[in-house]
Amino acid sequence: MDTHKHLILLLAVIGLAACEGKLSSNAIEGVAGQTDDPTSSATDPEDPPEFDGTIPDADACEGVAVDPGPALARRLTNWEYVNTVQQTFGVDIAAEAVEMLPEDLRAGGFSNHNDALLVTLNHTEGYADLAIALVSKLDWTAWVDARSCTEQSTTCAQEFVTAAGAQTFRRPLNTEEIDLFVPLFDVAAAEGDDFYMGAELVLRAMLQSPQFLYRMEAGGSSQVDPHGNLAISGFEMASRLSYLIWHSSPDDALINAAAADQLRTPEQIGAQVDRMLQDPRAREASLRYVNDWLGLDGLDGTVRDAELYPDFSPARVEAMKQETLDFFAELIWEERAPMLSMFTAEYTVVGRELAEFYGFDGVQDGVNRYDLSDDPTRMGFLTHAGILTMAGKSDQPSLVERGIYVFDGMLCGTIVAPPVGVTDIVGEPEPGKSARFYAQERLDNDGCKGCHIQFDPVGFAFERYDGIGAYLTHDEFGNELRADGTFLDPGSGETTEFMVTEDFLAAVASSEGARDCLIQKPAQFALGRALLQTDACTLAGIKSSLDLDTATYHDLIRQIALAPAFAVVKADTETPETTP
Amino acid sequence: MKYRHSMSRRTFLRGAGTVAIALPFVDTMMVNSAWAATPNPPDRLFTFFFGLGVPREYTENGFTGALEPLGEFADKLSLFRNVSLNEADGPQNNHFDGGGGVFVGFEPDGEVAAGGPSIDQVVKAQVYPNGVPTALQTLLMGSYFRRTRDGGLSTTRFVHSWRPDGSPVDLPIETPMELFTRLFGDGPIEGATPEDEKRRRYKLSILDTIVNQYEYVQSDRSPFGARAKAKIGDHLERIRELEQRALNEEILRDEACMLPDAPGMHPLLNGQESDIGSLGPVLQVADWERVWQLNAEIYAMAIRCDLCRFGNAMFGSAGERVRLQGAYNFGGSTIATFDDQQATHEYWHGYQVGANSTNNTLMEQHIHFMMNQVAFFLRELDNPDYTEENGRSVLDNTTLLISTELGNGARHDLDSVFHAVSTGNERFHGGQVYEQSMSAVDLYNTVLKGHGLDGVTMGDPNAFNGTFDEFLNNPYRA
Repeated sequence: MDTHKHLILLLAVIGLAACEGKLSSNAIEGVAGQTDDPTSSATDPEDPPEFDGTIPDADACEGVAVDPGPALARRLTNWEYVNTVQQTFGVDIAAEAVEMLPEDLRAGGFSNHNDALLVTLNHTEGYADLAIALVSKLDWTAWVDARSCTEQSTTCAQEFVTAAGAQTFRRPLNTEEIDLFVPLFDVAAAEGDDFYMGAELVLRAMLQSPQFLYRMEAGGSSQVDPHGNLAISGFEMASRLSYLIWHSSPDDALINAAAADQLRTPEQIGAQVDRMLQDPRAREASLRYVNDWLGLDGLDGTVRDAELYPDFSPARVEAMKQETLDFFAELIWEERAPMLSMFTAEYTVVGRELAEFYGFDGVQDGVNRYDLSDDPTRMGFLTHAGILTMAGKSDQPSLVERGIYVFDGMLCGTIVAPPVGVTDIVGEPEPGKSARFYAQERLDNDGCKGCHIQFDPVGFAFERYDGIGAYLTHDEFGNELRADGTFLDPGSGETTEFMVTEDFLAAVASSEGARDCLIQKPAQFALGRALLQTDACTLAGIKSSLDLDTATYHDLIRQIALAPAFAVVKADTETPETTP
Repeated sequence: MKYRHSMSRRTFLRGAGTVAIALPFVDTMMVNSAWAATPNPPDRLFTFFFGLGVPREYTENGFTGALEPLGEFADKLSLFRNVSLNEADGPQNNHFDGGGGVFVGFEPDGEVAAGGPSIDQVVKAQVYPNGVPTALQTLLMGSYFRRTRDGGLSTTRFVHSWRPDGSPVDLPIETPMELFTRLFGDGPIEGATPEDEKRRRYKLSILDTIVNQYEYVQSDRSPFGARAKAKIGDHLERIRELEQRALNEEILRDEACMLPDAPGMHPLLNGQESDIGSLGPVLQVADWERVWQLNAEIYAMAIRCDLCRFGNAMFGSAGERVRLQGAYNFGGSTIATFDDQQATHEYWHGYQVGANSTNNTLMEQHIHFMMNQVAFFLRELDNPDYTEENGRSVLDNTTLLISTELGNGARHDLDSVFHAVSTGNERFHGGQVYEQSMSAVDLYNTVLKGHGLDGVTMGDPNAFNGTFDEFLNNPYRA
């Protein structure tokens, strides 16, 4: 039995009881905002539960304390590390990082999730090796000469440490920190080496220090606000903004603004956000976010049965992945279109091979934008061949898997695993029995439908697309393929009948689930951790500040940056009065 | 200089996949066979994970049938046939819940974190609150292929050692060369020039400097919060291991462990490459055995040389998917000639209790093959040439918990999950087959008690009935 089939079988028999809770909590029982405090829970306040998926009404959050979540030390992701080195030193170290650092894990769908940012011995070794590689790529003599005098003296040593530290750590060093690095000049001198070697040791040490590899925030003052938070410093805000928008370290403009205490007011922050979103780094970062959010790396290495799909190849896989990224680049950066239009956009951006695969008219060489207003079968990104291939998981695409992909990733619904001991009720398509036949059996079965009613009909909308995303009207057995179903919006609990894929996509675009998810996913990525129930009012604030029908990526990022929780760090009860 | 180092790590990596494997080297690493151990064997606890599981029906006659390879250790292990891991049953598929819950006793926290610490880390923290006086605090090793879930790495498939907050202690080392390097680094190189030695001293000086930085962040003077300090503390521990490894030269000389030749290349995929496509990689039986055995030799040597006292070894990850090819021999006979047309994972899912089916036969053969790899590792630990000062083998003196992810793979259940426990320096009885139903938490807490950790419990308290001895006949002897 193929793996995907087994998964289908299991999912086919999820117990009713296992699913009803989530569905009802989201759609029937109402929002948490109807309680006194939508962020409250009966559990340990130091360890709040994960977000329940319901963004409360903003009204319910009035008077609720701003909660930025736990103060973390977040290791730079490999991507952030490479970007930071590029930004800080103007050196491209991407290839070396791939070789020397373990691959980042993903948690909750994102590679910047704090839980997944482990440090292994291989990391520590890798950072040491990368520091050597970085120094070797600089014009070392010139780099040192530009930062300090070069005599073997404490004065020159301190001058170098001060200058190199401010650049490397993205903030000024204090005396204690300077004193930690200066002795490395003595180490070099004791070995008979010159000032430049001492400087090399210093920079290598800085590049392995927590101040470089981690994003840590102590707050900018000792004054705890009434919510139990500390306002972050200007330099900390500069870092928050740069890693949110560029996935990299602050530029000079941000550092200068921080030094001048001009990252304090919403107007000052908003102006920086607007400036930063004009920078090409913001475009690259947005596509990185899309790549993570949609799990596009899941396409890597996809293979298909060569007899069934003789034209499928690694090059096709690359083209598929690129189509979705190019589509979002067009939507976010060229069109500046509302994010919700990603479900219904009537265009795509592809090269010749995919364009011919889709059967477009007027195919040309190179990557081009194609108008699809006359081709509803390719509306929005969910009909991209890559998305359909990846979500379908196998040669015979799974309705269930495609449904779950949309339900989980675009509607932020919650799915539990099937209970143990389930029995099979699904077979393979054959003459007279399409995949929908078995899906319908699940929906007619009381033991299955509790869960499957949430995502099987979503899969119905894509029944006409085969294992590599080609559009068909009949399967290989001659069974007629359909595209109708009933969409249950996990955000509102309302249902919508649809007859064709484009009607389903329009229903998704206007659903409460998609709107909430449009907030939750970037917020999760911005926070770099799982959303917690204590984030509920922050999400509510962002949502209420936007007209989601028209909200662009820029709008989303701007409102995240302006959220009150973005400007504070939770005070630790053991935090000393002074900062270093 | 006594040490030999035939190939640098970087050279190895550049040439990977092009050269045949170097043959076993462990015999060459010892100065003599009269093993000089510490007067009293140290507290050691390791876990061993194998993927996919052993259905309860296959343990009915102890270490026979599919479990035959473990038969030679029947007196040194006790088998627990009815250990429930249901306390780990959460909302995820049980490949993840079982894989992340075994040795822990809580359901996992998502796809990359456990619900609490694993038993090796609990004993480590309790017995050595100031750190273990060994080169490595914990060593994880595995030969495995499946590791992803929806395109991202899912550590609950392949990590089985977890910190108190449930985060992975480390990622298991897959290749013999990487394992070698973890223990010895680039090592003292024969004929090292003064410049080489100076570079080595510089590295140590840099490590000293950054240790100060990490210690500062962890200190009371630091303004950062408790969670940030804990994270930085993890990093600090890794740096200290790196420092310690640079000093392994003395340890190895004192313990009469000579640095072995670096292992050569191997033909198996590893890392992300090994988990592409839905069918799993095609593996030659001999290739997998050879790589596993090299890993097992190095890992056993690390324990013998007291380079580590805690960790996990793994053969096959949770939900493992490979397609085996070629003859599998055991005890002079060919048990099977594998020609898998589907991934191993599917044989477990096709299991039918009591059926005389081809699927069941193939699954049984695969289990036999896996148990033979477990036995190889046990044999390395039980090598009579390296008995410790109390006259017992390293296996005899070590607590080893062997377990897996599922009970009945077809049902994805966690009802009767295979567990076996070694005698742990006479802490526990060997040679027993326990039929009584119990929670894994009960078993784990019994092991803790055997290590003198009265009052220390782990796992979901809702599943805790009491230590095992409270309703059995004193299975531990300490």
